Amino acid sequence: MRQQRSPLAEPGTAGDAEVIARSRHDPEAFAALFTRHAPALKRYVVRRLGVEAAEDVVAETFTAAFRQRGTYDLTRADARPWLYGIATNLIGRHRRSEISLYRALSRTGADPVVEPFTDRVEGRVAAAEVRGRLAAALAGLPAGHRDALLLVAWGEFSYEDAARSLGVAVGTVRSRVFRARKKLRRALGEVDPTATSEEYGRG
Amino acid sequence: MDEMELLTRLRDEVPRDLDVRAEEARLRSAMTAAAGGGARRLPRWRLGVALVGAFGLAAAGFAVLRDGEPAVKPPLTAAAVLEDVALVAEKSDMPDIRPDQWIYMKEGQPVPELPVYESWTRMDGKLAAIRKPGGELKISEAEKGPANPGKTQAELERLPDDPDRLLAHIRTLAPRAGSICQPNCPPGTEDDVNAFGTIQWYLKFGPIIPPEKAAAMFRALGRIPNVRIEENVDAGFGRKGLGVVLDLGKAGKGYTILDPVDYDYLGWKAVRDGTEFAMPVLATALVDEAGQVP
Repeated sequence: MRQQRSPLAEPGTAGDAEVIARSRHDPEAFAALFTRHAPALKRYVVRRLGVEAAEDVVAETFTAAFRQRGTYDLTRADARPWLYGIATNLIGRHRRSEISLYRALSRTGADPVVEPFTDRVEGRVAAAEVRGRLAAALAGLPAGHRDALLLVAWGEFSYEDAARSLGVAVGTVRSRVFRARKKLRRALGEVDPTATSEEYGRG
Repeated sequence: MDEMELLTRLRDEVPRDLDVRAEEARLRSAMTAAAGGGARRLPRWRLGVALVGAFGLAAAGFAVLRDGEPAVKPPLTAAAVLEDVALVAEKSDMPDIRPDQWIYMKEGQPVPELPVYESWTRMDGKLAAIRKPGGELKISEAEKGPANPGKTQAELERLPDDPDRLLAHIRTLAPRAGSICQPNCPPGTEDDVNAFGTIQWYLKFGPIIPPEKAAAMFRALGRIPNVRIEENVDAGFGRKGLGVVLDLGKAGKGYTILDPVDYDYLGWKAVRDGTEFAMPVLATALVDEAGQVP
């Protein structure tokens, strides 16, 4: 699973808005946007839906983005909020599958999403406990709260960019993330995350 | 370690260098289709054909000359000025649009080093053409996205004639215009900003806007709070226009710029944090062939 050098285009230095504006004349210029953002977007989608569903979501995100490029808000140099917004809508169609993957992790301690990428499927018991509780909490969040939380946590979005992405006010994102974090804390409450932090993630 | 850090580490094992070749191939086929694989090219001799009467239509949507008078005189209240614009729009004449006609647009680009963009889309929504930077006309299948003028025409025809109902309807549509203050608009103004932007987006399609819809859009603009009029607004390419401005103070200002004489749409700009961002529209017309210009 190594990424090949893109045959489409070299990553440019121009801003995303410029690439999109250029692609109106020259559709193939849009490839630069793919080269720039596809790997990170795919990682984000894989983390939510697993590797199988991710291929469709990523391909459809870029194809939809390409078709909608005429309506892109060119005042925005960074296209990530737009791309992740499209992806979030597509992820929403797989909601049941996303939730069942969190539940599987919570139930068994083994994560089907990361299995293809790790040799060891079982981590330390304490770390697996933390992961299971986080996954159960994620499964129980309202979809809009999960979208906001994961754009911030996994997409590394600012609240402003997450708001652009989801088409809601910044205050809405702030309150959704706040409430989601509270639920995560509550779910973790019965284990002591501090005691497991050194082991966590090394499984 | 708090819950956010723990969450950040969840599924962190997913690698950063995932294979994206399959996705790339799928995008590539969509792009190839758009770039006109097997595109039909117009014979060169047609390119320069002057358009017959073409541009009686230049202003057909809502442009009637006003005997050389200045279009507006102070005091300029937005509602009064836009009522005036609406009356002009209402009285204008619009011939039937044939599905084999093309809508031509000539636009400036937001990035100064990019050339002026000329495009034609057939009104049946099936074919589109652009003038490539070298001057070559490229015709291909039209893309099916929301910017397809065939869809736009149908949307325009469905708009309510009543400005209040039109505004209510526009507020339900997904935003599609350039942003003014998003996502940091003053609380309570978000719907106004979207409505202002969407009406502006439709105004670009001047020649295919039915007169009563154009009139309703102008009246609706006049009913959006914080909209005012500014004269002698720089519309780019040496032009000055009548600015219909959504003024949100420090959060930003959005301009819909109209020709001061015939009220043709000249483009838009947004000013935010001292930075100006403009999308000038240099011409729009309904023509009979791709490659024709008014």
